[in-house]
Amino acid sequence: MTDQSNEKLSPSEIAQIANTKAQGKRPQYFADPMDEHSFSMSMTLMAELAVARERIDTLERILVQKGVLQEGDVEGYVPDAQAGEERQQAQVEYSARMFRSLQQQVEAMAEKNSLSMHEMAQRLAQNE
Amino acid sequence: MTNSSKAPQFEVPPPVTDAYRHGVYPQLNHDERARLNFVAACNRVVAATLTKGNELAYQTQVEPEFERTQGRKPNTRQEVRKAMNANPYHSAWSAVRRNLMEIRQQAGAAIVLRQLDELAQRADKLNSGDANLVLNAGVEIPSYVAEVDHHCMPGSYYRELVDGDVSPAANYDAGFFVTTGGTIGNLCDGAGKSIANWVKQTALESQPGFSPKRILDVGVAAGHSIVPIAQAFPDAEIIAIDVAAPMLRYAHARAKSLGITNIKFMQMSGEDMSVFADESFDWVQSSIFLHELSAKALPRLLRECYRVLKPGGLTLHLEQPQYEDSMPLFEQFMRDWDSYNNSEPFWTAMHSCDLEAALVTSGFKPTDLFRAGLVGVVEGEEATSGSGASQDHGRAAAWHSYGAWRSQ
Repeated sequence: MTDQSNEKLSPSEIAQIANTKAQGKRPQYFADPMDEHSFSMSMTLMAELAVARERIDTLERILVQKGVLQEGDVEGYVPDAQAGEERQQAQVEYSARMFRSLQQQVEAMAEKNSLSMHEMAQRLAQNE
Repeated sequence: MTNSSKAPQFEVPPPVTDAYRHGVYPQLNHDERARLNFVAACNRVVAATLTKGNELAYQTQVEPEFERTQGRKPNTRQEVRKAMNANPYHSAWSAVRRNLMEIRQQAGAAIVLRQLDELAQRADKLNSGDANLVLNAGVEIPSYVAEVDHHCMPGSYYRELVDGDVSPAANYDAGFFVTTGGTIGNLCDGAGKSIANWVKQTALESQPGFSPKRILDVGVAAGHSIVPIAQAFPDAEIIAIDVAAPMLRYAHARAKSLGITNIKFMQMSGEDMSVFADESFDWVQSSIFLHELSAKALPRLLRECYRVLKPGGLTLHLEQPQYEDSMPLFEQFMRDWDSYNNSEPFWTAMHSCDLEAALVTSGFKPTDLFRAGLVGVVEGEEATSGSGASQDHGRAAAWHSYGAWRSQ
């Protein structure tokens, strides 16, 4: 090894190299390429959720070790009325965000005479 | 079956923190460990609960449909594969497995790329000036390595991003514990231990005078299998070769940090071992390596292995079992999955060739040959992942050793 000191890779360089595809054509498992992407993103989210849960578990265990929390504090936690309501509000908002595309399709199905942007573009070009 | 409802569905794989941290083991931060823990756990769930769905899909859907349209059962594993690839359950299962491997590779690469220099320096500290590491920049990376990123590992075994790079090996090492789910030990040395045990116990029964002084390992990679052999035969001189410099740097540093000093790691192709004299080794072997060659390279390599082996010497090649007529087509198809879905393109041809005939072609007499079933050894015990072994086609810690004693 020479004594030439190597530059550290930047986070974006690491991401770029680590995310490189393997040589050769990747097998396709679904008829629709979009399904391929949706599935891969779901698997990655699955991994990242597992990582986040493990991190929360680490925090809880350290807090117990350090005496900040007692064993069972998290399990036994009962929110007071206001906290309970705030948390359920957050849950509702979260589910609503998750289902945005389905909910918007419901809106769309209820619309009458909804125009595509192509139609709208023609209409505006003709100055109504 | 009794108590099946109460029995645990699967053993829980150990966390990656259980892997033995030798002198060049990469540093893993919290979320990197968690990501690898996820891969190990998810793999185990897939193997224990989802993999059997392929056989059910085959029996209840794919084979009946094939028979209905073709008027016969499939005759080859390729026919099974074509029919199964159209099955939605098998596609979903394959997508899960492929994505898990891609997630594992991304995670491993990200771990080692952020510590490229540190890893290179740690290896260099152990390697510098040591005569047991002999690199040769003139060794060409053969096309069957250069053109394939085995097990979806971008950059393969040989990419060097910095001077003295060991990152492909460090990535491979961290991932090995995860993809084996700890079933071959915290140094991933269960295959090598099983070879060493087999030679010390079974082989010496048939060849009581066998006392190997010089051992050659071809395709050593990161050295997981050769280290336990060096430990079992401390007085033997061992030479381990590979074409990839990063693997050899890492393998030597790793072995040295484990206190092993009787392995010389040399950069060399198994197809051309002309630096070694004829009949100069007592034992010539490879471990889970032949499937990464090519149809042209395999006989050349076997011929070289024969040439350098002394009369009375032992050769053995550890691999997953070959596909033979006695193996059901469905099992052949499942074992073939890695070839098409995990960038192991020679796997299918290698596992269907007549390896014993190839050994004879390389120079052995048919009466020299033997075959042995080996099971991964963990902490002196044979691996207990029996249920997993039958479920996880092509990955279980159960191998066949195809070998020969060269006649005098």
